[in-house]
Amino acid sequence: MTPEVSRRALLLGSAGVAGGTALVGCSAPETSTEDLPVRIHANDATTFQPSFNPYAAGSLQGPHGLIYETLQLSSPMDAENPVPWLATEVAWNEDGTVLTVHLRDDVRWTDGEVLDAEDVVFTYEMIRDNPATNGLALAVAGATALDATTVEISFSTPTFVQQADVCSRPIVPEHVFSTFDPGAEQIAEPMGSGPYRLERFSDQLYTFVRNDEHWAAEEFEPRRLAFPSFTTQTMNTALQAGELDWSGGFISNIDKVFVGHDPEHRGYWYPGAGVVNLTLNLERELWQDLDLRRAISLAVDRLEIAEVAYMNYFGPPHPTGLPRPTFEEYIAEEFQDLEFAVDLDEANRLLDAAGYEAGEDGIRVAPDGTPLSFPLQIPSTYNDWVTVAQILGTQLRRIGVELTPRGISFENWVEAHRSGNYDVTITTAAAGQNPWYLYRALLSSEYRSDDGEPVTANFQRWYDEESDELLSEYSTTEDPEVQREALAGLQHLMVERLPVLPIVIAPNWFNYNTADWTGFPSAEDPYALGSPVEAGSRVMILHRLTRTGS
Amino acid sequence: MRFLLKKLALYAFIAWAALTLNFLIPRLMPGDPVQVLIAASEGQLTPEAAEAIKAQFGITDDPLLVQYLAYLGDLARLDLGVSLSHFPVPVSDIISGAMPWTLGLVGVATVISFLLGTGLGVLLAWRRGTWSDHVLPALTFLNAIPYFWMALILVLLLAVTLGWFPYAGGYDRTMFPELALPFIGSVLYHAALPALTIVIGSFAGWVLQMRNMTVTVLGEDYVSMAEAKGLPRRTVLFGYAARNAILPSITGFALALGAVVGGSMLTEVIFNYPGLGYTLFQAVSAQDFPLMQGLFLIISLAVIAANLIADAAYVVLDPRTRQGA
Repeated sequence: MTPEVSRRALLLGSAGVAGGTALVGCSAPETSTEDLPVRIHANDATTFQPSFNPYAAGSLQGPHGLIYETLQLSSPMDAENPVPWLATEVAWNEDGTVLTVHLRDDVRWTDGEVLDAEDVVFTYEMIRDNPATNGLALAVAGATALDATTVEISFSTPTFVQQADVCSRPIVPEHVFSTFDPGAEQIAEPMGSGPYRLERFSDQLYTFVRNDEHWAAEEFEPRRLAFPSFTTQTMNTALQAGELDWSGGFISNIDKVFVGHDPEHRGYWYPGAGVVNLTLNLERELWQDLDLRRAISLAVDRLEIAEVAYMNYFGPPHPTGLPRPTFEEYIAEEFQDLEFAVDLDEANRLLDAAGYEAGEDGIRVAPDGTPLSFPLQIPSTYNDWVTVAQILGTQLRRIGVELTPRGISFENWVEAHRSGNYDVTITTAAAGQNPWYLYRALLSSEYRSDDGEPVTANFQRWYDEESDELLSEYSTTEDPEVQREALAGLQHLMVERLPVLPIVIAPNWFNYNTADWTGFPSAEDPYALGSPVEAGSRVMILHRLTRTGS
Repeated sequence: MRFLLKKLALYAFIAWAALTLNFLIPRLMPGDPVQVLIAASEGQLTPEAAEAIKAQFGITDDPLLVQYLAYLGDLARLDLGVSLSHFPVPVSDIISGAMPWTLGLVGVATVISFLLGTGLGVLLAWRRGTWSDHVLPALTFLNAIPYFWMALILVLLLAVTLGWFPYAGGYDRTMFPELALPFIGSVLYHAALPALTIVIGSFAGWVLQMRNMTVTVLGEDYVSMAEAKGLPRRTVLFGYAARNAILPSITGFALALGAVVGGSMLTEVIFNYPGLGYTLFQAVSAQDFPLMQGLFLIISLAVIAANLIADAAYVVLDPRTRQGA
């Protein structure tokens, strides 16, 4: 089985195009080597619209971090050690409600004005006052400038754990952004303070050029960045032909199709950036039975799934749900060597003991008479999940549980798991900046909705006081010891009470070609996440890139 | 004149119906664009972003009637709203950016296909009963091949395997649009293969329709009469037979031209061509209601306008319609 995986809507027949083997395309006209751009595929699009507002939902990739800078650079890969950027230093007050920020004093907007505390104050007050710009739902209460380079940002709740979010907000120029509605303005010509500025724009390509006035300009070797338009489908062929240096996205059969053409320079690295879970609707009484969930988990062979559906691009998920290697350092000592194990005998024993008797057709029946036979709802455009669902169906049949994969439209799937109108489905939880985000999305009751209202996270509907207490303990302290303990408690919960069943890692897709530029992160040097859509990691990576061979 | 006025009133009614359906259909579709955007972002947007995006998009829970009146008001001001998937780019910007690509590619290809097909059809009818009849089965075959299948085979063969043609885009991705030969050349080069598939996929239909109609007309008494009074063959063919035979084709052509604005969606999707058809495909995948609405509006108005033009052309071509009215 050769699965064709495409996370975005897979086009009719595109597999035929993507699966071709020949090199295609005319090569770029020769530019002087000094000006050789880093060619980045970061938008899944055939045509671009000139839209570079870092606070607008449909903006193009790039302005965040590269044009509009942030206080710090942080990457989930090294969440505890953010890189100082506009801020030389940040410090929390005791209860995590006030963050004192010390700014660099040598930063200018590209129009010549000085970037000072007033711009930072403006940015955070904008986030407070204009809900459309508060995409991370930060509880900003206020911001005050103590002097030209010191700002106090206050919050209505303890915000320790969200420091990476707070410090990753793009700082915008007050003298520009105060003239329009920042959440709804189309910005075709961005003006920021960052190491790059927009050079040219067309509907198929835009380029950034280095801002040589920038305080760190000398540390950025690439003078030009080119963002050509490719879709997930056309990207594969472009990658093959060596037309891209850096991209995200899944490539089927990557060793042959991409790496094989130039193994010396081409590679990929897919660290975990979330976890894909078999999601059982815990509002239905049947799934509240821990023995049933445990038996199902014991029957799922994650290694087979990683191998067949994902060609072993990455390993199986960890029982704590923490993605590796991204959050490996957070895994509690006692779980470090733990892996999911397949044990059909134990699974069958559990089910027998709990009274799930096998019927004539081999399908077990719950004590209340419900046969353990369910449709497994998945979006039919997620080809990888279709394969996963088929494998799950086969594996669970061995313990007398029948899951029949049922492909539904993406919209219906979203609607079903949000409104709780399903028995079994597959959902993803993103890792976020640190484990608190992941566990909050999986376990927190704060997402609970009034009857029938759709929920936005915790799709399996795990509402549990202990989980909420642990999450709150974690988020209201800066003490690493207390955080570690709360985190260990959450991991225990994941391992022992199985609120969700992790089945696959949700990877950070990242493919690189070092023929022209080197310094990308890798398993050996995991300093950042590689996907070009991660704002903080993106700046870190460009900061490190150097011309190959020089 | 009364004929045209009656037609105009009819078309005004049709246009209103189209506008109203255009308003209703996206609102009857299942799903919530905000949640779809978040789920499709694969972790780039957190659940917490929902409120912010809702605020940005200005999604309302107003009663349908209020929304409908607001919609008509916006239309009267030619305001098509703001795209959700490209937020905050106005829908009209996206449509006007994609329109030239579609008109250029699909429009030109449709005209070529019609001229080629109709001309060949007349020729085949005139020479019926000779070797030319052997061409017919081949044309029927061409006409029957599913378009997407033929186009995919051609892409795979000519673009991917042989590399003679580009496989995506409107022009080379290393260029910026300018009025210069290399850019124009690149545009033509990128349009060549998709245009070829459209012509191959549609011209056989025109040939068959035109040939069959011409053959029928050639059997009419007035054609025998014209031949009998010794008119030159060319006059008989074009002035008597073809002029009458082309009437159904004109209707078909007008409809085809109207459909051009919708873009040949399959062509544009297969070739990742940056026209309206591809834009519509993307809008539907992303549940971008304002963009979908804008596109449907333009497409339906184009079809209605094309029909109106076809009716007007009938009046010119066929004197009988003038007397009937």
